[in-house]
This record gives sequence, C-alpha cells and structure tokens, in this order.
Amino acid sequence: MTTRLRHRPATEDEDAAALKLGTEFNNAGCLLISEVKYLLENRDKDAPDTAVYNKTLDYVKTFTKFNTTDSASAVRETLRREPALTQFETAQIANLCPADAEEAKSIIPSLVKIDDDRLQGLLDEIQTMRKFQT
Amino acid sequence: MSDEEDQRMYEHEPEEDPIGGEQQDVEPDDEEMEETSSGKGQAKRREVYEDEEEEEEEEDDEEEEIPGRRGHKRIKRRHRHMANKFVDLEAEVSDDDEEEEEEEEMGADNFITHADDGDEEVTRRNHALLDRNFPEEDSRSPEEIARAIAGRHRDRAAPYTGDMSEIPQRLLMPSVHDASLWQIRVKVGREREIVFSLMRKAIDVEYTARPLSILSAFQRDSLPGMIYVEARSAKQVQQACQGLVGVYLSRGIQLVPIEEMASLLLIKKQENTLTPGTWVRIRRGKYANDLAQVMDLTENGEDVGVRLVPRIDLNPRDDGGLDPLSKKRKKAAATAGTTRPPQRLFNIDEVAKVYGKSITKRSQFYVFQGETYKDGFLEKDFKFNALIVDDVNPTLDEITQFTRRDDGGEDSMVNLSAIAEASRKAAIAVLQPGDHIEIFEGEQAGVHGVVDEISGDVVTITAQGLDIEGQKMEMPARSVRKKFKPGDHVKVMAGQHADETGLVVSVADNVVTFVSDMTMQEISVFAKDLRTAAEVGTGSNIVGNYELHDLVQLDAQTVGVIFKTERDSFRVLDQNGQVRLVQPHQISMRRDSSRAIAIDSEGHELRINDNVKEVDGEGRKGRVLHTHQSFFAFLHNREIAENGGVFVTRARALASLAPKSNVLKLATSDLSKMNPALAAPSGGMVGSGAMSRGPRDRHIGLTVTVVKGPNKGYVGTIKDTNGQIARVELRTGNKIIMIDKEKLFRRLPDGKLEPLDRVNKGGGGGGGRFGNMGPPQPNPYSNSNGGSNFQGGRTPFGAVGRTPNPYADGGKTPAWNASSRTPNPYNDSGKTPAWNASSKTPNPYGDGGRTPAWNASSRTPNTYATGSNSTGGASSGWGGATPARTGWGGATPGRATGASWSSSTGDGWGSPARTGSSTWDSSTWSAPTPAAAATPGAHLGQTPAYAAPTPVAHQTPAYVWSAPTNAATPGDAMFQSYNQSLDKDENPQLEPEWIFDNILTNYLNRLKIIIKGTKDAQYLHGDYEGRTGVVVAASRNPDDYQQTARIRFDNGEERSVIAKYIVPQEPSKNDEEVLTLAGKHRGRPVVIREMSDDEIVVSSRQNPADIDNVATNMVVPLVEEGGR
Amino acid sequence: MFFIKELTHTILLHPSYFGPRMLQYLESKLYADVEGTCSGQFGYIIAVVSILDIGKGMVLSGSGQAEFITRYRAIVFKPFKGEVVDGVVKDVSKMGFFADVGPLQVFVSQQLIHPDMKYDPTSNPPSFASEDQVIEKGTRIRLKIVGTRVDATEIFAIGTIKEDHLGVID
Repeated sequence: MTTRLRHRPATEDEDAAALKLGTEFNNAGCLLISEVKYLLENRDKDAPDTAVYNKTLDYVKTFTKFNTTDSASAVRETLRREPALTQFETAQIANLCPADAEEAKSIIPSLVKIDDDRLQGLLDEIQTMRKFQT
Repeated sequence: MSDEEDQRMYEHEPEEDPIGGEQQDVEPDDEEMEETSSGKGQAKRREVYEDEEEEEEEEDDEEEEIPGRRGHKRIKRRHRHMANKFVDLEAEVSDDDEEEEEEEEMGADNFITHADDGDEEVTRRNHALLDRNFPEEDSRSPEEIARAIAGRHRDRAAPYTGDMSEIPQRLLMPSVHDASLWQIRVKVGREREIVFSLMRKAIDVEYTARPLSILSAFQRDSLPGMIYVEARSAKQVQQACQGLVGVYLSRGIQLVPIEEMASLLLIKKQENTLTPGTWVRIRRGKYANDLAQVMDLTENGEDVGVRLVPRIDLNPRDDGGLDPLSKKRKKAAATAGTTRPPQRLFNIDEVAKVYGKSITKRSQFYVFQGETYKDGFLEKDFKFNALIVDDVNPTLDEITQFTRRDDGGEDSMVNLSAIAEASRKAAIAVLQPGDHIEIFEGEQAGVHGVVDEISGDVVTITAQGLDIEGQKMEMPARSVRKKFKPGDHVKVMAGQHADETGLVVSVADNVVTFVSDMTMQEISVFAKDLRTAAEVGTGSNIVGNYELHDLVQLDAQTVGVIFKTERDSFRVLDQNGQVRLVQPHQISMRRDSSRAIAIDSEGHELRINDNVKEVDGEGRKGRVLHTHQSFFAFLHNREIAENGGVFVTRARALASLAPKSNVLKLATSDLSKMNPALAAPSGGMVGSGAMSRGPRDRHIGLTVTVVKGPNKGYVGTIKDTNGQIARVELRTGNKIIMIDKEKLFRRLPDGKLEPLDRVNKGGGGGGGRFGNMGPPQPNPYSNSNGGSNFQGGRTPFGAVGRTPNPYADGGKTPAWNASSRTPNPYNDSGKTPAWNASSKTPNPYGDGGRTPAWNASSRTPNTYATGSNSTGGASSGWGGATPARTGWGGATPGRATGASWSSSTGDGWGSPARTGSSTWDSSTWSAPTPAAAATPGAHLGQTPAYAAPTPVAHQTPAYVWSAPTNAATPGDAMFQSYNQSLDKDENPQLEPEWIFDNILTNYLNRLKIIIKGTKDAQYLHGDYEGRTGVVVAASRNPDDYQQTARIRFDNGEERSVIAKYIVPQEPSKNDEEVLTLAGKHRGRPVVIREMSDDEIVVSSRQNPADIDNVATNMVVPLVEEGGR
Repeated sequence: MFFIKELTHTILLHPSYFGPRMLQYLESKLYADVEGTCSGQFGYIIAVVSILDIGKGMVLSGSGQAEFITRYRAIVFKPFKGEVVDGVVKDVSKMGFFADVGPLQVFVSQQLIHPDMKYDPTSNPPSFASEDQVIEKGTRIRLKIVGTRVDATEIFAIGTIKEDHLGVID
C-alpha cells in the first residue's frame, strides 16, 4: 500500500485537455491524420498485415481532411504562424477542423489561451484550404 | 442482556454471593475479614442495610413529591444516622459491598471483578477516604450522598472496563472449593422460562423448612436446550429442578469442568443494532439469504417484523381442487424439493389468477395463505435468531427491489443514503491513504481531497480545489466517501463483483457504474467497494495457475476455455458449449494449443489469434483462442456479450477473414527462410541438437533387405533404430517389423546388397556420402587455385577414409583401430601440413566415442553454403546432402547414382577437376586407381572391408596431395618411418602438429619440448635446433598461415616456432610425469614406470596397477606441476 | 493522436543468423516484431517509418546471441484522456456503443450519451436515435475520450458524446 502511495504522484495523470501527455509524448511530434495516410500509403515496404495497421489505414482514409501532401503542409504552415500552438493542438485543429473558435475551444480546451478572433482567422483559413484543395 | 439480568437477579437471591465469598477469601481485607468472620452477622447486617435502603428510596420519593417536608426528613435521617452510627457504618461498608456486587455484575461480562482491590495500597487509600468522608457525608443530603456514591462507583468502575485483560484473573477463577456449575438439559426454547421458574421457586421456598440450596442459575442464548445451575452438589440441583416442566432431569445433570465455567459466563460484547430500516437476511427457509428490511421490533428484541420481497409460487404443481390444508402441505413439499420460486413483488391480480379467492383484503394489506402482504412486500415476523444481522452487505440490486414499488411512490425509508448509512461502518474500514474522497455532509460538504492518514474514525485529508488546495483537514470518516469520476479505472474490493475491474462511466452519489474490463457489462456498485486500480485488470484474471482464456482440461473428455474468473473459481465454456463453474482444483491441467493444428473450411491452417468467421450458422466472427482435437475452435469476440465473448464452434465451419494474409504471414514469419545458413540447408544443422542426433539416426531411412529369418528377402526402409534392433517398414504389406540389424543388408539402388555397417564405414556409398562427410574445413572451397577443386572434392574423401572410427562399430576391429590410431600415414603421405590443417588433429578420430568427425564437418556449415553458391545449379544437389541427416542416414539413391553426381560436378567442380570428376563419372567408385594402389597396401591387405569403399580416398594422395605441396614438407623422414611402421603393422607416430591436440590444452604450459628438424629446413638457420623449453601457448592459426606455437626456452627466451619443428622431449627417467598421446591413458598425465628402447610403461599416479605400454615418441614429459 | 516517435527495440539474434544477410534479417525482424503491437507506454505502433540505427550487435556471453538495440522511427497512435477524436461506430447495444478510432476501440456508455438519444432495440441495425440523429453501425462520430485502460498489450478507452460539439458528424 505504502509503495503504491509513493508511486502515485510520480505518474502524472495524463489529460489532453490540459496538454498533459505524459513524459513520453509531451514533446513528441504529432502527425495529422492526412500525414499518416500519406506515410502509410507511400511505404516502400510491403504493408504489414496486422489488424492495427489495417484498421489504422481504414481510419485515416475515412477521416483524412486533406488529400494531398501539399494541402497538409499548407495547413501546418498556416498553424505555424500562431506560435502559441503546441504540436498537439496543431494536429487536433487540423484533424478535427472545427468550424468556429467556440467549437475549437470546446473540443480542444487548451486553446483558451488564444484569442477568439485570431483563432477564428486560422480556422477560416483552414476551412478555405479544405474546400479548395485539389 | 438476558444473561446479565439473570445474573443480577440471582446474585441478590442467594444468601451468600459465591464470587463475593470467594473474593473475601482471597482478599485479606480488614473490613471484609471482619464481615466474613461472622457469616451470620453479615446476613443480618445485609438485611438491615436492605431495609434501610428501601427506606431511603421511600424517602427519596417523598422528597420528590413533597419538597416542603424535606428539611424535616433530613433531620430525621441524620438523627437516625447519628443514632445508628455503627449500623450506618456497616451500611456504608455494605454499600461498598454492594458496589462490589455491582462490579461483579459488570465484571460478570468478562468474569472479572474488582481485582484491583487486591492492591492493598488502593484499598487502604479508599478506606482512608471513606473514613474521612464519613463526617462529611453525615452532613450531606441523601441525594448528594447518592450522587457521591454513584460517582465514586463510576470512577472506580471505569478503569476496569478499560483493560480488563490485564487483571490477574486467575485469582478470581473458581476453584474446587467453590460451588460447581451443573448443566441441565431442558426443553429448547424454554430455557429462559425455566430459569425464571427456578427463581420463583427459590423465593417461594426460601423461608420454608427446605429452602433451595442452589446458589444461582442462568441460561445462555447461545446454548439452546441447557440451563446452568450453581450448587454444591448434583443432588441440590436435582432437588431444585424437581417438578419443573421442561427440565429433562432424566438426561442427567452434568458437571461443568472448572476451566469451562469461566468461559460459560463470558459474554461477548454484542451490540443490538437492529433498528427499523436495518437490512437483515433471513437465515433459513424459503427466504434463506434473502434481504429483508426491519420494520419494527418487539421490546425484548426477540421478534422482528421485517418486510421482504415475496417468493410466491405462481405455478403451483396442482391447480387447485384440493382443500387449502393439503394444498399447503403439498406446496411446502414442492418448494422444498424443487427450486424456490423467484422473488417477485406481490401482485394481487397475478396471485388471484392462480390461487383464486384465497386472498383477503384488509384496508391496507392483503392476507394470503396466512401471510400479510403490503405494497407488494411480504411482511412477516421472524425470531431474532432467524435473522442474519451481521455482514449483510446488501447489494444494489437487492436494494433497488425495495425501492421499486408498485405505485412508484417514494419510499422514505429506503434510499441509497440509508444503505450507505447501514454500511457506513464498513466504509471507514475500506478507506485507505491515497484514496480520493469527497465530503458529503457537514460544513465542508462538497470538498474533495486525498486521504492522508486515518486514525480511528478520523481521516486527515488534503483538500483539492480552488480555494483550499493543499489544506489539510480532519474529518470524521463517515462524512467522507470515495470519489470517482468517469474514466477512472477501478477495481471492486468487496461484494459479489469483487475483483472486477473497469472504467467508470458514471457516478451518482454513492453508486458508481463502470464497464467491466472483462465482460464489457456495466456494473453498478457502491463507491465504498471500489478503489482506483493501479494494476490493470490483470490480477483478477488469474486464479491459481489459470488465466482468463486458458484452455483447460476438465476431465478426460472435456476441455474448456475460461471466460470469466471469479474470486476463486472460473466460468468455463467447454467444447460442447456448456458453461461450467469450476474451482481451480477441478482443473486437471492447462493445455497448450499453440501447436494444435486445425483446418478451416477452406483448407487453410487455422492458427491461434487468426481472425475468423463462421461460414454457416450465426456467422459469428472472432479471434481464435484455441483449437482442440482439430475439430473444435474456441473463439473470442468482445462484442458478444454472453460467456464473456467466448464461444465454441467447429473448426471446419470457419473461414479466415483474411486467408491471403495467412500465406503472407507464413512467408514473412518463416525465420528459416531468412537465415542464410538455413537457406542452403546443407549447412543448417549448426545446433548441437542436430549434431547429437546425427549418429543415432545413421541407419534410419536406409533401404534394406532382410537376409535372415522369416522375412528374408523382403525389402524395407529403416524407420527407427534402437541399439541393434531396427524397426523396418516393409515395402510389402506396409508392415513394420522389429528386427536385428544383423539380419539387414543395405540395398543399393542397383540391387546389390552389402552389410549395413559397411555402408557407413565405407566412403564410396555415393554422391550423397560425398557431401555428407563434409570437408572438415571450409577453406578448400575458398582456395581458388587450381587444386582447390580437387581439394574440395578430395577432402571429404579424405575425411571419409580417415575417420572411420566415429562409426562406433569400426572400433571393434583391430584393423580399424590400427589405422585410426595412426592417422599419421595420411598426413605423411600427403606430406603437407595443409592436410593436417584441414583435418584438424587426426587423433581425435581415434576417440571413437567422441566422433570429432562430426565436429569437423558440422563445424563448417558455410562450406556448403559457399559451395552451393559457387556451383549454381548444383546447389540443390549439395543442399540435399546435408551432413547431419542424409549423409549419415545413408545416401539417397538418387544422389548415389553417377548421373546426379556428375550433373553437380559438371557445374560446380569446374575444369581443373575434370579429370577427377570424370573418373567418378565413369562410376569407378570401387575401382582402385593407381594412386590408391600406391597408398599403403597394408591397409588393403588388412582390412578388405575398408579397402573396398575407400579407394577413392586413397586416390587422393596420389595426385592431389603430392602435387602442390610435396616439396616443402620436411616430413620425408617421417614418411619413411611411416612406411616402416606400416610394416611393423602398427607404430604410432607423432603428427607434426600434435601440439594442437585438444587433449593437450590443459597441460599446454607444462609440456617439455625440444626443437628438431630446423637444421634440415634451415628454419631460423637452425639456430634453435635442439633447444629445449616449454610451451607457452599454442592455438591453431587459420589454414593459410603457418602453424606456430609460442615456446619459452630454458634460457628464458620466448618466441614463436613453427609447430612442426616442435617435438616432445624424450622422457628421461622413471617416475617422470608424462602426458601420453596414445594408448588408453591418452591425454592424461601418467607416470613412467619403466622404459625400454622404444616403449615405455606408464600408469596413472593414483592407480599404479593401471598400466599401459606407449611408444616412447608418443609421450610428452611434463614440467612438474607448479614447477615453472 | 498520431505521433512520429523514435523508439528502440532490442533484438536478440542467434549466431546462425550472423552472415551477409544479417542486416536484412534484422530489418525484417524489427518490422515483424514491432509493427502492430501496442504497449501502454507508447500506444499502438502502427508502422515503422525508418530505421535510424540497427545497432551494434553485442554478443552476449553465455548464449552466444547477439543483442542489437535498434533505433527506429515509427508512427504511433496513443489516445489520451480528454482528447477529442473522430471514430466510426462499430457496434451498438443497449449499454452503449463501440467505436473504432483507428486501432483503438472506444466504448461510449449510454450513460455518456445525451439522454435525448434513446436506444431503439427494434431498429435494424440497433441504434441510438433522437429526433434528428441516429447512431448506428457505421455512423461517424466525434467523441471525447474520458478514460483509458492501459494494459501491457492493449489500450481500451471509454468515451463520451454528452458534451457540446460531440456526437454524430454530419
């Protein structure tokens, strides 16, 4: 019991809403679903036939928001303009494509730090890109 | 407690309190001694005292009633006190006495009285106090006195209750001098009444001529059917009980042993917690273990009115037509025999439908079959004994049944907080430091925090929250409850769902709903029964040695898969689809089906963890957990709720969801294909296991003909061997016979027969043989000079010829021994150290048992790989010739034919070998080439058997060995000697590189050596010729290099010397320790016993009788141990 | 959330594999070993993107096996509590529904579904339905992960759609 007690504070609760991703992932590079799709589809090796791989492939095909690498990197470029955004937030915005700032802050609570108008500007831009991607 | 009451009652009754009496015995208290000194007087005094007390009570009453008269009374009282001082004093003491009695009463609980009084100091102080108080008391009002007395008693009583156990009880224990306790059988249930009648009787006859002489009587609820009477003799007891109804005197009056007397009176502290609203369970009967709620209690707590969910049989076996009486009886019998009807709230319509008009209605409730039903519940009185009061642990399900009411109205008595209340005590126990809790009542309600520590009922918590973050506060444990939030991973600590783990989905006050990890069902439990689970689910999946989803053997015919683990049992789905509840001990073993093979509907192999789908039936999908007997497949699918998602089906009814992927998987996961060594299977058998298997199987697979016995003439294949016995599968009749190997002859493809052993001894078995013997070193292949191919081709033959001994049998014939022990000829004939290099110390071959030949060939598997690569198309031929298997087992016919051989040689063995290979092509296997003839004829002569297959081997020295390497070798002389020795039939020769012999390894730096032969070769200008020294290090160099050893000469110089110039010093004297290189002591240090010209007699130091003759040149003198 | 992450994997190689094709073998073994696995710490390892360093083989005394500590870069998927993700409904029962979020299975209990959405057992396939929305197999859904259970070899999550901006994706 006491040992467990001692361990407890060490394992910080992971909470994406507070951007607490655990030690392993706090600084890891996040991928957009679109990027994952690109990486998986352009693998030089044979696709491994694992359930995980196949499910993921299905998933990214279903939920990819940007069909080309160009548009995906354009989105990244756009979001990079906002320095306060973390990797995680960037990816979440690009993956979920919220329509307005209010929705964005609701589904990505850590975005509260960003001014509504600026956020709205970014979101609009992304929506446009999505609409006009080839 | 009734016991206590009884006790009290009877304590006053007897003239002399037994325990008090004893007390007086053991306590030499002045005053009390005074008392006891005159028993009669005491009784008298007691009477007086009692009288006075009565008076006092009266007075008190009066005082209360008429305060105006108070003063007068007081005066009167004081007056009497004054007048009767002595009596009063005694009365005070009597008071004390009474106090003792009271204490006894309390002490009776634990059978302890004021033993502290044994402490004289205390007693004296008390008495002093008493004395001092007298005048004071005289002047006080009775109330004050009474209060003071009460206070004093309370004070004194208090410490006793605290630490009773520390009092030396043995002083108070009954002894043989005390009255005994007698046990009497009485009618069950009437114990109490009988004790009372006994008391009445005692009072009745007290002043008659024959008063009862018993001292006390009592009864224990925990011991039905017995009462206990304290008396001096059994006769007195009998007297007392005479005439009482319900006392079974005939069944004897038993004496309670003294040591048990105390425990009989021991009363466990018991709290009667029954209050209306409490949850209880019914102990027995139709409602056994059903939850019930207490409605009301009788005053004595004997009868408890409860309400519970009725179990009315709505499908009685006989549909009426019987009179109520017999029907009732029938029904009782039916319910007893069959399963009891389910719990169901009483519904007038339903019941009326079945039982007709037997229901009567009275204002609020219904009466049916003598029972009262109200609001759907059965209300019934139970004896307290018939209820389980402790550890009720009502589950949420059960309680919700009570909350669910017909009319849907709120039941004030039942709400969840009431339940929590009931189990609150338990809740304290389950709190642990680190738990997240929430304060739900009191000022701090709503605050949550983490438990820091718990002491008794108080928990210290560190609050969490906006304002009070980090503050510590102490709270009563019952005001807090564990707090969980959705998403927490929790584990159930107690109750029906104990050990389940899951993720919380919702929390409503005390009730937490979570999704079980195992069953994916939602489970609602009280928060108190949960804790956050750091360990994830695993713990609960394992009971004993078995784990969830293990395939277990239940009995000889039945296996099953565990689909749910409970606290100490499993739910198992067996292959017939039956669900069984088993305990770990009912499982005979766990089965491993990872290698079980089953085929699915498409003919694909079904493997564990494959995702499959039923092709017929329900079309269920699932992951294969296990297969059983190639027929049953246990699948798992999380989405199937029943049986934890495990189901059983026929393997044949399954189809893989991704059949192609299986093939793919096979391709990628087949490690052997990735292994370069295994890719060319010839060299794959690196593992020692294969090596050891080789010799054992060497006959297996051979085609043989039976030459003797009833089966003579039959052809078959050796399937297995066991010593001299072989199991042969006959071609005819498909029969397997056991037969002595002696009776088997190998059948060659051309129909010729030859003895079985010969096959192995001979090298000319065929092409397969060629490969399987294996070149001892890979180098022959890598040497890409002209002779390399010859070497490649040759070496195996060399090996074959040279290493017959490994074939154990060969060891028996002296001829073989001879040749094997003298491998030198080959070396010498070759005259080339290169041969030695490749052959690696021929001597080991002498060691038949160790079969270094195997080592030689198997140590160099890559040879084959490279060989096959270089030979291109021929690789398959080589591949087949795996040394470990095919070779030893006997050449396969195909390879033995010249055709196949030539095809491979054609590609692989290249031009320089042409002559050689063409020779082989022309199937001159057995035809001795001139070279063969040139090689020691002695061999041919000696061992014809040997000669026949080996000419090929002998052929090699002839034109391969000599050609490139002849020149430089200094061994000419030795060659001569070899020939001589051949003439002499047998003379062991030291080989040039003896120093690398494995047997020397341990003695290397003790070997005395001398440098010889450098003069002739002008090695180092012959400077070192004749110098002596010891070996420092010797290890074999790669073949392309000269073999050297590091020598320390006697003058201290150290340098490397080519190995072939190093020879052992000649042993000089008897008793010198030497290492022999031949003979039965080979490789062991022995002592020279006697020396002749060319032979010495040696024996081991430990066993001088164990002598052997060794050639002089086959011993190496050793430096004395530690001498260097 | 998908991440690209550098990870290490230790491969023990039997001496029989030492040879010219060893590297090839090591690579295929790495792929076979790690792809498709799941660890609580790193989540699902979906695909190896590149091998950074196959490692120096260290021959272990005793067994003769060589130990390669391989560094590679892989796409991993790890769900976090509080993260909002999109998923596809896989299975609906009266207790709630399961949704696939890539390799992860998320259970959304009916307690965490807006009370307007009622389970409709009569529909085929079974569904949760409100006046204007239906959740049935195949529906795309946006949900928030409220808790994860991280086993050694598996991650399971429960989610909620009982918040604003969550639920069926149009």
